[in-house]
Amino acid sequence: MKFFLKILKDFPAYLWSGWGAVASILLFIAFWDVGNQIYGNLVLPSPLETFKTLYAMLHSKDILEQIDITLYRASVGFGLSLLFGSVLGLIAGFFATASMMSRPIVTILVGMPPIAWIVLAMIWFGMGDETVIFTVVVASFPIIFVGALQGTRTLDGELKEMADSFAFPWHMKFIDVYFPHIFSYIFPAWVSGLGMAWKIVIMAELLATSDGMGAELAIARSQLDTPTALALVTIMIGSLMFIEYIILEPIKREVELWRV
Amino acid sequence: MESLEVKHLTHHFGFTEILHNINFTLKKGEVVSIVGPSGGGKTTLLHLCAGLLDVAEGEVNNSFKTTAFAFQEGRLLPWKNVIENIAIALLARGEKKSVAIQKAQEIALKFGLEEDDFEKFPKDLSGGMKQRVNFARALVVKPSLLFLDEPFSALDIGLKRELYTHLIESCEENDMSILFITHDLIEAIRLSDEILLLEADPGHIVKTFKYDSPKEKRDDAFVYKESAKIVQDKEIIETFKLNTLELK
Amino acid sequence: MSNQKEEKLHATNHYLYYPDEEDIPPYLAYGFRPIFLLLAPYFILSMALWGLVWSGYLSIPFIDNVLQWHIYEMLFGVLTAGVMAFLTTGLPELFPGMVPLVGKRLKYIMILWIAGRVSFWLIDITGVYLTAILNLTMLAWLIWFAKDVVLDKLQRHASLGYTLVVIFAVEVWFFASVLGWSESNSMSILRVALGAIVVLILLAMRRVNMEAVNELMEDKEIDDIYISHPPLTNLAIFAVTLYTIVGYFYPTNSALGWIALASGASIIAITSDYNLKDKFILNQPYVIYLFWIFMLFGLGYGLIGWSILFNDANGVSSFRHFITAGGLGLAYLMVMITIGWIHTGRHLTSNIYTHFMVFFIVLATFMRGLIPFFEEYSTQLYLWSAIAWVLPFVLYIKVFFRFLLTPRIDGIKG
Repeated sequence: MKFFLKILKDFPAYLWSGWGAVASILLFIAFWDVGNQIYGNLVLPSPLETFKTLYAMLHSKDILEQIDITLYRASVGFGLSLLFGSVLGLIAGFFATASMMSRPIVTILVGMPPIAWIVLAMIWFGMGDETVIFTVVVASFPIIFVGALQGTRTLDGELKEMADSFAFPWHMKFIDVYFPHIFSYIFPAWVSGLGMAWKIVIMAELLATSDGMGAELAIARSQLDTPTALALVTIMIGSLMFIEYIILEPIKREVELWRV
Repeated sequence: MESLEVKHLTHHFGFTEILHNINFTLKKGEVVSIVGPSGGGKTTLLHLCAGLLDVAEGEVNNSFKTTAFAFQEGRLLPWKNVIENIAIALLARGEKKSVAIQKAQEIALKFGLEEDDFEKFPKDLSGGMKQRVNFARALVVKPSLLFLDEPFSALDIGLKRELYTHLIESCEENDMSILFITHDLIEAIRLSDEILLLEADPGHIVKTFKYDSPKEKRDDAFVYKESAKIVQDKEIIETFKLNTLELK
Repeated sequence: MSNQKEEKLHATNHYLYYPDEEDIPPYLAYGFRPIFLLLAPYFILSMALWGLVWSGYLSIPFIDNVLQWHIYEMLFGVLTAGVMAFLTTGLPELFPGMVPLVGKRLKYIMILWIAGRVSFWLIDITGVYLTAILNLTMLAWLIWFAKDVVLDKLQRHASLGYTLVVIFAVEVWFFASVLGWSESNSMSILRVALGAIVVLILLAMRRVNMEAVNELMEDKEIDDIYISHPPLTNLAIFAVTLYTIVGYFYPTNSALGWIALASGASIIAITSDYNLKDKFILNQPYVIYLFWIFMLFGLGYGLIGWSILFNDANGVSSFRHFITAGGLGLAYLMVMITIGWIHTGRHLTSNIYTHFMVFFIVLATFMRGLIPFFEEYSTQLYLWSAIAWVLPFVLYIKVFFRFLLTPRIDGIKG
């Protein structure tokens, strides 16, 4: 509780420190605008037009439904990866044999291009939710798994000894000695896993389903509707930035105050 | 009567014998130091006595009610601030949180930390301040036996003296016993009732020195006189290889 | 407050040598004194004169372009005074070997500045050439005075010097276009000048900010250090420079609108440094005052960007007052107040007067800048905003003139 109050207390200052980032995004948009003036509306619609399309979109029920569908797939996929990646990673980390064994398998999972997984998933599950969710899990699970594994593997033996010398009870050992260390590894892994999930879900939808934002993007492409395509991209980037910078980053800062 | 008895203690790491047949007894209120060259098994012996390593051959009987440990490098929890790091030793003993925090603050002030430092994380502390926290954490539980693993080795002389004084005071007030290891003979003479000289390969006790005069009366003159005497000792010369100059 | 503390404040790193000229009157004892004594009344006087000119009571045809000359004087005429106060007071502190400018030499320079102002108001009689020569000489002398800054091996403050050189070049360009030697539109040149001056102010503010805020914290025994990080200032300078250059060539392009928005955001970003690691200082009056300089600049650029994106030329020129009357005005006022306290041997103090000075500048800016939203009241807003803008300088005369006319209270020379 105290922890969340602290996050809320520091939030305005954190938000205010974002002005520099806003400035550089606006400069980027200025370049985009120059691109529009050089290449014309068909190739690259102006930022203002895109934002107007976006505004109209966010007021249409249809698009909101599609966003809902995509959000559902991404959250289920990411949730599964989060659960299994963390638990299995922790277990693997505690046993030297398990971690030795899992490494090459993780390398295979990471090394396989997501597009190949989509093709396989389409054969296995057909065109639908399962294909998308499966691809998301396959792409973000290894990232979280490795994070959890690293976290447990790198636990500090000296601190364990210190805990023993003061006869910490087991729950204190876990909460005060192991958990903060593991968390400092696993949390960034969650963040990058989430980013991965969000990107993959769009790609999988674009190829394998007829609904969701990815499918909308495919339709916009086939109709050469660049403003809609860019507006969709803006939604994707905007929502990812919102989750990462407005929700996760403040938590991360508070959790990792002791680090930097 | 609380005491720590070590009988016929021998220890192996793999096939290497680290300690060979160690025997000594530490009685309530006594300060015993183990001196010897680096790599001589001092730390292993201390860890065996403190129960951080399992005893395989021989016996370690520790009847002291409470023990605490001050490490060489502080070993503070990096994600806890100064007060939390000190209080955690009390919390581990089941003390109530509010009481623990209060005691931690009291002892922190006593150990020369300032209120501005209380919220700081170890990364923002200087080496000396970390060591103050380390000592405060060990002494806040009022241990009847304190293990010290060369905690003074990286400190400046001013801070060393300050911490010596705190230790001697605690010994007087709470009848605390100390088992500590060091490679600094002067330090050992200043603080100990008994010095065990540990020779390496494998570690075994070659000689013990006893000092009876009260610790608070040991001034510099005394300490330097005694240390000048002790470096003349044949076993000391051999154990620390003090005659290498002559070899050249 | 103990004497020892008084000593510590600004006695030590002030200057190494003080000229041994005899009988220096207090108002010539240090560079800022005569300038502030003249600048505050000049602000009041010139606003009154402009009021009369705009309302038609006073007829100064100003070579048939009143607006252009109004902008010129409010930019360059005032700038030389502000820069001079900043340099003559700040440089001996930044470069302790430097001998402060006092006494007779100071008097001559001040006469040059006054001559520049007089020639400006009599421009219809004395002609553009005299105004150009007097004002350019004044700025050239300032650059000469600051040459050590540019020649400094470590180049710590060289950016100030280079920016002054750019401003000098822009002023030459302006007169060239007025005299028909250059084809450029002189109004566009004035907009470039504004950009360059904003850059100069941002550079100077970084230093003033650090000195004033840290001084304040030391005074209040707040144990922390405020650092204005160069990357933030540099980003703002980059954005403003880009805006100025693009704005000269494509004043209505939509990309310029985005750049203006970026400039606004990047200037506001500078204020995030006020959020210190350990201590909270945003409740300190001087921090709030300085904070508003950046807010007004930022709002100005942001609103201009918005107007450009939606093709509102009227809005652009109105919102520009957030930068000029607001940002620049408050920056000058803050320099006058801070130096007025500290360099007369006093503590940086906030009281009801300083609160009101800042409040009125901000109020006047909003009244003037937001006219496009309240067109029906525009006449009243013009008048009242001018009055509100002048008030702080009236208060300045009331509070600070006795400091400026008497020796430092800590007995140090200067």
